[in-house]
Amino acid sequence: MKVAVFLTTDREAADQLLARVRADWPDAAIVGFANDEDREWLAARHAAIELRRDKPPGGKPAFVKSLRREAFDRVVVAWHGGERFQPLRLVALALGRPALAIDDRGRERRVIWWQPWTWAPHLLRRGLRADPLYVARLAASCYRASIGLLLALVWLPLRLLGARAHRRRPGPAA
Amino acid sequence: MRAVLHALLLPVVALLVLPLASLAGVLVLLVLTVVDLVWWPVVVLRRRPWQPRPRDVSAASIVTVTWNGKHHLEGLLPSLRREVEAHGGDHQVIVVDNGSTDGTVAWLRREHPWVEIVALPENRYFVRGNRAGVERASRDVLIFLNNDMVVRPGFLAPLLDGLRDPRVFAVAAEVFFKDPAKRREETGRTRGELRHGWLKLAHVLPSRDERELDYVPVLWAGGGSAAFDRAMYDAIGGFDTLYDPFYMEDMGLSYEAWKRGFRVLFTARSSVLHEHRGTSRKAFGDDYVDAMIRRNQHLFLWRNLTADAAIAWVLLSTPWSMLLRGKRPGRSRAYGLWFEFRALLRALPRLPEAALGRCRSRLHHVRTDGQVFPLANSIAAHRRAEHTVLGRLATPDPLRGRRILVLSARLPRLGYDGSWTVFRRLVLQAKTHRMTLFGFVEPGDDGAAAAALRAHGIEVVTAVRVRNAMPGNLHHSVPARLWRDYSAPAMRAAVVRALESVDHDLVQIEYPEMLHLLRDVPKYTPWLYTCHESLGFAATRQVALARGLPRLAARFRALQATAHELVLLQRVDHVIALSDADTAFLRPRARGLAFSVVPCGGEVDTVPTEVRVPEAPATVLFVGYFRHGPNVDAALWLCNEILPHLHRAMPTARVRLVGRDAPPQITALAARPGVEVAGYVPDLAAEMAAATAIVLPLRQGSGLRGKLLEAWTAGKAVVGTRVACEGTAARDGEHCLVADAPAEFAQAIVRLLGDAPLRARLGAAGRELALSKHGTAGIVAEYETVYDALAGGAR
Repeated sequence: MKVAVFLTTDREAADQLLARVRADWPDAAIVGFANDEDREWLAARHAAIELRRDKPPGGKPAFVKSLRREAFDRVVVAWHGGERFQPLRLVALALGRPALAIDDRGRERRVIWWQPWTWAPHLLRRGLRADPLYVARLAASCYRASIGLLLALVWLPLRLLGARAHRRRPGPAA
Repeated sequence: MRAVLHALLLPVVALLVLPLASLAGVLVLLVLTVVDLVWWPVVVLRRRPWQPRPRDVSAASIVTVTWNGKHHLEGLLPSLRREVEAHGGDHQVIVVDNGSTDGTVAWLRREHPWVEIVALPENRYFVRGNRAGVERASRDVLIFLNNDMVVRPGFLAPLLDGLRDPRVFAVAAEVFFKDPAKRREETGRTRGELRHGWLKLAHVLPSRDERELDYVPVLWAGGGSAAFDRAMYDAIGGFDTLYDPFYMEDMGLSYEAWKRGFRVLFTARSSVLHEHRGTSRKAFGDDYVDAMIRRNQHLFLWRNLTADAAIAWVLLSTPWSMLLRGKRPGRSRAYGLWFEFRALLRALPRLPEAALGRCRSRLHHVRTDGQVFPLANSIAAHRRAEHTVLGRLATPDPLRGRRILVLSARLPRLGYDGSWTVFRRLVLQAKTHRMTLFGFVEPGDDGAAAAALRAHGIEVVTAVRVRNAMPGNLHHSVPARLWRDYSAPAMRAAVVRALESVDHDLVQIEYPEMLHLLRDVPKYTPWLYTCHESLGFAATRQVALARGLPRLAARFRALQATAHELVLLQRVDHVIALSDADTAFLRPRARGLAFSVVPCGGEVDTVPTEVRVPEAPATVLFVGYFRHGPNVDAALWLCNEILPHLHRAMPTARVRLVGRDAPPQITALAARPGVEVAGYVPDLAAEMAAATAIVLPLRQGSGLRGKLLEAWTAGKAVVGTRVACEGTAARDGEHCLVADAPAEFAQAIVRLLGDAPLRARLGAAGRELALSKHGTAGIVAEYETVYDALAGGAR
């Protein structure tokens, strides 16, 4: 069994998460993905776990592709309470494997709950906590890339013609 | 679970509140429309503009309201007494006691028998307390002072002098806080505008001009530190009880005076120290005070906004503006929305009173709402419309000097990017004119650029550039880069403030990004635009460089940029383009707009021509600021397309790339054989001297390239594209070598590297051209001609 763990949390919580994963799957080959600052510290405490850099060269699509090739049986992603956008959460979902989430929001820095993590709870959770401005920006981007773009193809030539036809009159300031 | 419930609260509150708020807005609009229609014949038949009357400004009645504020009066009254005695007028000081229980009245009688006391049996708060004081007042001028103020020496004279003009209704003093470390939320210099369906009011820090002028217009005179004409005060009806108990009553009074044709002024020559909100917030709490402010803002709009479109817009966008405003510090957005809704509900019972006041006032209005805001916010607009003298600002040259406001997308600086040419020009212009430069800086800016400009007598105002987080640009009207980097509301507000607070005869706009920011900003004076690069021309040029699908995208961007640029140019009075190519592109498209072609340049002699650095063999140098897209393209084209040809002919040739902020694709070029990426170098002159030749493989952008002038000035031979040589009188083979295809370009470099006499001849001819055609004095003279045409002869 192969388990990937995205350590998108602080090092203490990551430490506990790795211990918990090891306890739950004692025979699994576990691969942890951590940032540069924490990787060495975690490696010293979890010698049997392979720890990799969470920002591999080659871009995100190549990263996801390589993970897909490794065919992990479980993907665990830490959701440590912050609502900041964390692309690795999406990577966990994109791998298409049953993903589990850990929420270590409590002050005790311990695992609070686990659950299968799929697109629906992810979107629900993010959607409910989303900043209205963020939602508005997202909606505007979707509109701009679809209907807005089509309308712009008509509107911009008209705007150009209108601007060219505009005959200037001396204003009050001139 | 709790988190989910918490998150659900906002949609639930919004669903409950927003429809009701919409309904309330429509209802109020209906009521006001019916009232306006019924009252309209009366307004037409019985319109009575108020005529100014002479007034005695030698003395004032000074009114202070207090409630359990003995400790505040202990600071105010001694300072006031000193000031009254120093001024020498027959002033009357009235303290209105709002039923204090701290022994204020007895203390006043004992310690300050010179003060007249109006002892009220109960707390009538600010509005009705002041009204009680005014009933006792007997002078032609009323001065209202908060009890937690301390007046500074010289407080009275400027306030009273300002009222000598019979068309001035009120004069406000500058407010400082007793605690100098406190953020100055209240200054006395007030402004406002209707934006996003709501009234935005603010106290702003007075600018240099606002401090140096005797008087400047303000939207309202604060009811706690200003002087008012008594007759007009009575005619308007005084502080309106509509706003009882407090806040917005002074705004209502001043706004009404503006609409009746009077003026409200501010003077920095008179000042007070304030223990900000010393009584109200402590006694009533922040929530209650803020709720009163919000309620009274609704009432103010209902009562005073008489422009049909404006009031309709405000009321119909009630839910939207509530959503935008609905934030309370430390509370959830759901609570903020609820708070706003409660304020609206609190205002509704007073709608009949607001409508009645509206009817009464309309009989005397001579100005519209649209006229009031520019007049009250902007010095330049006020000076032009009112033909009034607010004071004189000195210019370096008393005969030819003008007041020029320069709005620049970035601060020009030496040795950083191409903006050094603007720096040189402004420095020379500042010897004649009073120059105020407003420019954006990056976050974390060290202030060195501003300091360098100030050293030459240029007043510099900066604001930090921020990314635009607002959704919008739904139909691609604005090029994406401009929308992202130059459309943030905070940046617009900073530009608006600069336009309002600087007394100027004309506005000089530098860079297209700044012109974009000004697209919906009120215009008061002539606008001169220096077109460093035509957006449309630069975007159109990119079409030819693209192939396949990217070419379609490039066409779309060219269309977008050209349309946007032409719309922007409609607001400009004169364009100074740097090159004939830009003018040839813009002139036929922007019909009727005046164009001049003035090349950029600089004090070329300041760059050393002989630097004792040994010339490196077979090294060509490209210098560019790499945040500028055309420079990145040029470096990539040089290394990807030209360099292979060059190495085939001359394997030892080296390319050196110099410039700030190189992106990864440029730094990655260092891995190529024969390429060095040096990044920023502190001594560019030495760098140029060390190079065998300078290359300018530019294919994109437009305008005139400062880097070409720098190379010529250093006496170096140049190989460039036709694009790079635009705006100069450069001739191929005489001043530089010109090539547009990679093989030709490489061939030209090989020719130059192998021919030292040719390099020397081209370098000398280029330097001669730079000296004769691109000196700052000549450029400034051309600007002077345009100034004369736009702003008339010398002041």
